[in-house]
Amino acid sequence: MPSVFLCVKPKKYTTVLGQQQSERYGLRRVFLFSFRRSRVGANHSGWQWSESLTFPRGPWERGSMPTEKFRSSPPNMAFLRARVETNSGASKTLQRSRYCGKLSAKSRERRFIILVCSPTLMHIPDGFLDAKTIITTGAFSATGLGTALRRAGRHLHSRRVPLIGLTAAFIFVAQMVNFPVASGTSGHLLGATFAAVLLGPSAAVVVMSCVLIVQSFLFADGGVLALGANIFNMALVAPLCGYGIYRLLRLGLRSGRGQLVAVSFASWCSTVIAAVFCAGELAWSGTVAWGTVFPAMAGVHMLIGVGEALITMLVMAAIAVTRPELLNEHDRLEMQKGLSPAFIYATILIIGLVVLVVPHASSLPDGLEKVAASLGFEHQALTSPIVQTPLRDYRAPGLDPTAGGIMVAGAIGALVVFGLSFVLARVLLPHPKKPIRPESSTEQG
Amino acid sequence: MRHDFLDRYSRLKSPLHRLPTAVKLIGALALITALIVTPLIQIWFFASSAGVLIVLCIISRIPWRFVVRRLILLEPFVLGISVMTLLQPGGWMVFLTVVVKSTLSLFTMILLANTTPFAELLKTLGRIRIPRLLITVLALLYRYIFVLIDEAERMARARESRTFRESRFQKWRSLASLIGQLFIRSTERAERIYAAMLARGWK
Repeated sequence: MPSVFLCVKPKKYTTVLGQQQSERYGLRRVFLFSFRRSRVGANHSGWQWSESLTFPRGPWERGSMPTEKFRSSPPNMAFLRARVETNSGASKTLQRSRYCGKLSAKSRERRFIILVCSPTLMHIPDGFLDAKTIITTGAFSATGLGTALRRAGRHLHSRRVPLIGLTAAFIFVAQMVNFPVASGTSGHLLGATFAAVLLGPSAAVVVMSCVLIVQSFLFADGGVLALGANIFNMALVAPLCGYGIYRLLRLGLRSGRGQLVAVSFASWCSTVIAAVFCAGELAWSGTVAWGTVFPAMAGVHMLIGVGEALITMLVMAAIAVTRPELLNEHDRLEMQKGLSPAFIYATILIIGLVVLVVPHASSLPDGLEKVAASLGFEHQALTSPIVQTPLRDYRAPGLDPTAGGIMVAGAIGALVVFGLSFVLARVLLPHPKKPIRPESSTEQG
Repeated sequence: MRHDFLDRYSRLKSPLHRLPTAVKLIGALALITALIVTPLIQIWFFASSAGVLIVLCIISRIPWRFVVRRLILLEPFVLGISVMTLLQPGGWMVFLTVVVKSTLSLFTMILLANTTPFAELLKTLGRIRIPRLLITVLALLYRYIFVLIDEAERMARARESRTFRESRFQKWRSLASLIGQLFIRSTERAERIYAAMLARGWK
């Protein structure tokens, strides 16, 4: 099959068809279809054959393939589909959806919101957490964010302030870029570890918090009262754990390739750990039982984390090719600084771990009931507990293997991700010792 | 490009839009708090707050279709978490509670976001002693989302018009290089912005 490319020029709505490679087959005929939406009064909607073009019989000399133009009517949103027939009689339908010309504000908005909201499995909406969880996590994240702001204000050069803002906008936009996974599903960069590695932990906390605040206020994506919990999970736990793991791994992996491995492994871990904290909060509020929410959240995010690790690694590799000095800027700065705020962060994280996650994860079968009894659940009081308790007692030991299984799976997953990232780092950065071409470090297009 | 898809109706003119931002903010927070604290048995409370929200929506002249569409778009993410409650015994009641509460909270937030320009919100936040660095970063974030989206779309369009079919790995690589390039450009833009801010007497 000859590979062809269709080029849509947005302004003139001209489709140019050309041939790139494997001209030996020869193109014979190309039909273009465009997708029309039915309007009021029109009686058609769907794929419409719009134009066809017959090429002279090939084979042509390399490069002499006649480039032809299709002039299709200007659809607002054209989903192009081309049917290509070759000299040998084979035919194939090529299809891709693409936006042609300007998007209407409406479709643009729909796409935008869907994309912004899709990495939100971890964004807790309002109504899922009870008062004590909201207050506790709010206090944690206020302390953490306050520390980050104070530290950023004191230690960072004021030159870095626009950089923090722009990185926040960048993370916001990068979350919209869709990576196709399988039919219909897609992955995203979440960016917590990425920001922490490139800007340092304090700046990353500020960046991620701002992204979450805007998402919650402008899109109602993640609740306002649940903002404390969301900031705690995704703006404190994720970047700080990711950063900690990254630093630890960097002690052993000092090369450029090692950096890629460390970043991708750290971002996998940060995704999973943040999800576990999220599960802990949901369980602590009494909305969902720990035995249900922990396997679900941890399991799903072990998969999501693989995508996150891959994307982060690819992005870092892409930056390493053009502007390698951007990746090491923070590393160099970090060497000169003290570690005092690290203790504050570590304390917050450990207290959070103790309060939110450990009670549920304890091997005692009645861990949940104990917490429930000592703190009192609104929801439990609501749903008749007389019916529920025996069932819960019956289920708690039965679910333990699931949680254990998830932990084993997590350990295996961590090993697999670590190994995979080694392999991929080899593919992406073939010569770690050789300095990357100096001329490419200047600004590019 | 049109930049009104974020908070599209926040600059309409209506009594609700003219209300001071602080009042709206505190009102929304109070309502959401009340929604969360109240148990579902008091159906009258939820029904009446839904009624109040609908009346406010009508007063604010935001098209109801827009609000409904947003709710439908956001609901899957609520349902995604709520489904887990169904897996436990007696989960139906919790499921209902959670879905009703979060839908009403979503409705409140949609109304707040679309009756208050983000800059006003930031001004109000600044008045209640939120650290200035946070406000600055939020303002920069809101300002440059649009610029970066434009930039990313331009790059994506340029890439797409040069490629027709590519393997998944190739696609991932090129998308990753797009993001990497976007990061590089935003750091460079940050430098320029810093120079411009200094030139205008910042700090």
